[in-house]
Amino acid sequence: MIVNRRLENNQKFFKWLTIAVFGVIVVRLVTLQLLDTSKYRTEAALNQFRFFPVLAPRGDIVDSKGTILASNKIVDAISIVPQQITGSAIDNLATLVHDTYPDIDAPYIQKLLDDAQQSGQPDQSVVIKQDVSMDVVERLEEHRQELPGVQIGKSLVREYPEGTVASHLLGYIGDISSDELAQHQDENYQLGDLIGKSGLESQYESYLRGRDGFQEEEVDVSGRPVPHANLITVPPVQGDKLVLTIDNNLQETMDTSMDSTLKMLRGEGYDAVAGAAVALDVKTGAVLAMTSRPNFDPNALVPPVDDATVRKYIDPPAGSASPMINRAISSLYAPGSTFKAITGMAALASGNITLNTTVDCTGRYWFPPYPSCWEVDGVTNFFKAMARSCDVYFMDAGRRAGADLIAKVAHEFGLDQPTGIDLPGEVTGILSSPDQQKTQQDLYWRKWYQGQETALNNKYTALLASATTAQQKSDLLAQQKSAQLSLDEDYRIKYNFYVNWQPFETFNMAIGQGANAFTPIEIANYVQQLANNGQRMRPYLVQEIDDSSGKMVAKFGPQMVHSAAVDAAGTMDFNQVMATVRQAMAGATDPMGTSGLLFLNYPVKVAAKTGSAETGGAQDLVNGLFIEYAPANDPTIAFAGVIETAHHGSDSIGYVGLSVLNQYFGLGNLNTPFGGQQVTGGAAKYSTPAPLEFPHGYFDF
Amino acid sequence: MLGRRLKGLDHNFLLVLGIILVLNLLILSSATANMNADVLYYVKRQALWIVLGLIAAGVITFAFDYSKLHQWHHAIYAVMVVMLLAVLVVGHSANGAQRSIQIPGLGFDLQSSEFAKIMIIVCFASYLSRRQGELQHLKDLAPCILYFAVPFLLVFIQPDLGTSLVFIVIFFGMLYLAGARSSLLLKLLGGGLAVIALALALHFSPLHVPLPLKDYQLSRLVVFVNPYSDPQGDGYHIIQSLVAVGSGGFWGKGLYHGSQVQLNFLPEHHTDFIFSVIGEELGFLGAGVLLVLYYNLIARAQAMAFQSRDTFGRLLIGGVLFMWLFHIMENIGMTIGIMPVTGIPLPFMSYGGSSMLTNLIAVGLILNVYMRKELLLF
Repeated sequence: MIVNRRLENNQKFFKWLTIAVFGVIVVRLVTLQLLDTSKYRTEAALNQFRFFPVLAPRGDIVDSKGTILASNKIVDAISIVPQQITGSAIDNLATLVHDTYPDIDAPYIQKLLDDAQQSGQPDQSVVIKQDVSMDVVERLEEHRQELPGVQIGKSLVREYPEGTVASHLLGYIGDISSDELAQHQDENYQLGDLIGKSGLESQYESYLRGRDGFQEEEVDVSGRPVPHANLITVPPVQGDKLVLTIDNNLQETMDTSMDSTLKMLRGEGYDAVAGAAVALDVKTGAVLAMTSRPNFDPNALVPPVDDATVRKYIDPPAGSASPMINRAISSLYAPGSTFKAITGMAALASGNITLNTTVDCTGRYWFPPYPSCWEVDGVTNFFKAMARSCDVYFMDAGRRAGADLIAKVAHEFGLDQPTGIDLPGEVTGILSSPDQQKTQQDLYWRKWYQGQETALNNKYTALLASATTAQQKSDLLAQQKSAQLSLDEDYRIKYNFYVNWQPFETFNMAIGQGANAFTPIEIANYVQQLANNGQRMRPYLVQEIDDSSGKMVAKFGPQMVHSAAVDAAGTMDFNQVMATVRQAMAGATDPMGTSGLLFLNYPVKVAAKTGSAETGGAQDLVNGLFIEYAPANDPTIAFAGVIETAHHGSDSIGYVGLSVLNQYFGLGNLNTPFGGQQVTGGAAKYSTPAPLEFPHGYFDF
Repeated sequence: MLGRRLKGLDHNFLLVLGIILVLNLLILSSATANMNADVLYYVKRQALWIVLGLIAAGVITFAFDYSKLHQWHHAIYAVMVVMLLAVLVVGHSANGAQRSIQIPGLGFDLQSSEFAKIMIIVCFASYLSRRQGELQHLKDLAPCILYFAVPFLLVFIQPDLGTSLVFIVIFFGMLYLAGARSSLLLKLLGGGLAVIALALALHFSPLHVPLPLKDYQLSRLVVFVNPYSDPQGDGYHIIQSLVAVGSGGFWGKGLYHGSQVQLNFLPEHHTDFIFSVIGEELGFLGAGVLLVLYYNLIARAQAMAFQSRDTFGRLLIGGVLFMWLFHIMENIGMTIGIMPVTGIPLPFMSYGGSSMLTNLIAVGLILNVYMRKELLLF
């Protein structure tokens, strides 16, 4: 019986043990499955569903007539899903596309994948090549089995149908950098996004960008989407459309004539690759066309960018002109003779020059350092001086007006201010004047003197300390005194030369040489202001912004920045002064004027001014400059342009100015040396090159 | 004669077992749906093991009287030790432990420690049944401890912590059923726990006394208390299992529709974490049904144990009962975050041949004992 009681106890113990075990499990299951269900449902959903961005198409950019300058196209794209890549898929892909796209090899693909990995979005597929040709797509489809993880799909790609035309003002887009990410930190960008890098693409990024949508996807543990019904989709909103002030026909004319002129100049042996030009609407300030050389094809810079393109555009060999700089707004050029209209206005306003004033040009000015004129003009009045661009006359006119007044007029015409054009990267011109030079240079030379004096004293203190005999000491003291005297004299000369305004600096300034330098857009804006009777309008490129439904979200119109006001001391008020200068500039296109041949028998009266400015290089190189507005009596278009290291303005950038007017007035290929066509070689010569205006060594006296 | 014997089988027990096995194939078909090009690959293999296991169970039930095992227990003990040694010598390594022997040509990893469980139950039952009434003093228990220590240590150094714990449970459980004094067992158990506590204290003291446990075992043992302390590492498994079970709710997400399982957020969901699949896809209802089935299986086996004709039979069934009960508590407990993660399978549910064969052999032993509860007279 004892045994039996033990067995009963055993049985009871086991029964309660079993109940306890199952009871604990049931209690726990009640908590998990009945009380905390919603918490765990949420966690399961967070595992199961991801939101993938659906990129918004960027807004279009169109010219004033609706021609598309930037848009998006649907292309075939090769991309890779990093988690799905197995075996030799990368090598197989490289082998299959290498013949067609030599830049794509296995290391290049691996680099793109590594970059994406570092960007912190390893879930997303990595684009290897956009806009893949049809035969490559077919080849890849045939070898699909060998390419696990490689996807061939449709993709939206930024497209610039006009290629290199207007490249600088449109700009380009690229992958957002970490700096840009920090800069736009509250704007919902992330690594891997595209962003406007320059030009309008950058300036109007917030409008063009659009709003990304998203697509809910069910994913497995490795982030791979699996099919699922009833997923949330929020469609993307396309970016806003920019309507430009640009006339694409005029823009194309400016671009092709710039290329033709540069090619012609190279055929003549000039190293002419760089230049810029701007055409403005005189009444409104609207930019009608703008170009810069060397230029680039924004299509080639749409990511992914191959190494050849980077070497060609972004990272060109040292010493060559960078294609990415918009020289129309970001490069400074000495204005040369295109500045003479400013000098002329200052001279007339001073009252020290009248229309009766004449100067006898014998080919060389009579004040030291006796700078020469580019030709011998004889007895010259204001109109002849402007038409022939007589340097002696304008040097004397500058002397009589005074540097301060010239600087004042230049300031009134905005040459020391940014124009405020709606593009990033505008540079402000350098306008020197006696006062400004003094404030800028005084401190520098004082410090220079102090530094030299301290060094000299230290040197002799050390020498004296090591001197042993009284004779050595007295010799050293004599040497120190002499050195101090020589330093003082050196300082006096340098201070006088660099800090005090010298008479020759006025002569330089008067003819657009010396320290003054402006951007082509500043010069164009000054021409516009002069043609618009002193009213300077802000240059602008975008006249309207429409959202993707066509609704207008912003409108930009003419905006007057400044009306020129100079106290005229002579018989004329400033309006008459400006009118007189305009009349004189029209004379430059008369048959005897410097642009006479360019506009020979031209049906529209044009007012113009050529210019050549020394580049300061070792050779006698000049930058050719040209300004114009037309029609002369009631101007509607103003132009300024420059070609680096080329001819005098008329025979270089003047052709671009002529072609632009031909197109603007619908005159065909009138008077152009290359008939609007591409020039082959250097055979086409229109006129004998003018002699260089200033012999080298002008400053060495 | 066979008819009489068949009548002697417990039909309730067999019915419950049958339902569990069908449920097993059903849930495996969902758990392994995305794991092989042949969606039924794992189900077919598991079905094959079930068939082989049932044949083995049938042979064990009918072929001999379990008292014959008294004569074979030395041989069984020897085979068990050789098998466990073989694992250590030619074993296939997985997760830092040597646990299986690969059988060439079959694509089957023989898990020696699974079979060792049933073998030690048989041997220990025979050993204890011949020492009835001699288990009242510590000196009586010493040879028992030695007898058990050999296979236990061979399993422990594989290392297979889960099976080692099963061995300890079987050891104490069978001693208790064999009539060992409860106070003695409690002292032994308390002493063991005190040794473990001391070892841990010394390990984490500045002395850094090494433990016979690998680092991953220790961190797994602790992490279940707060899996969110290491959500991407040791806690990951537990968290995903809790999410699976918890998100199942009352009704479950439906067979083949559990996101945690089908999208692979829950690893090893067809083997050690099969209960999470049931919890997620069949919900509280499905899990509850399984628990009711298990409870019935154990309750029936318990009843059979206490109807056996002798102590040996009672100890055989009792050992199996303690094994099953611990397996169920540890495996389900680990999937719902109340037990540490150790790799021991859920009986009749986890995918795997060794486990299925072992448990069906155990069924055969139970039936053999029950069928012969009264000596058959011929």
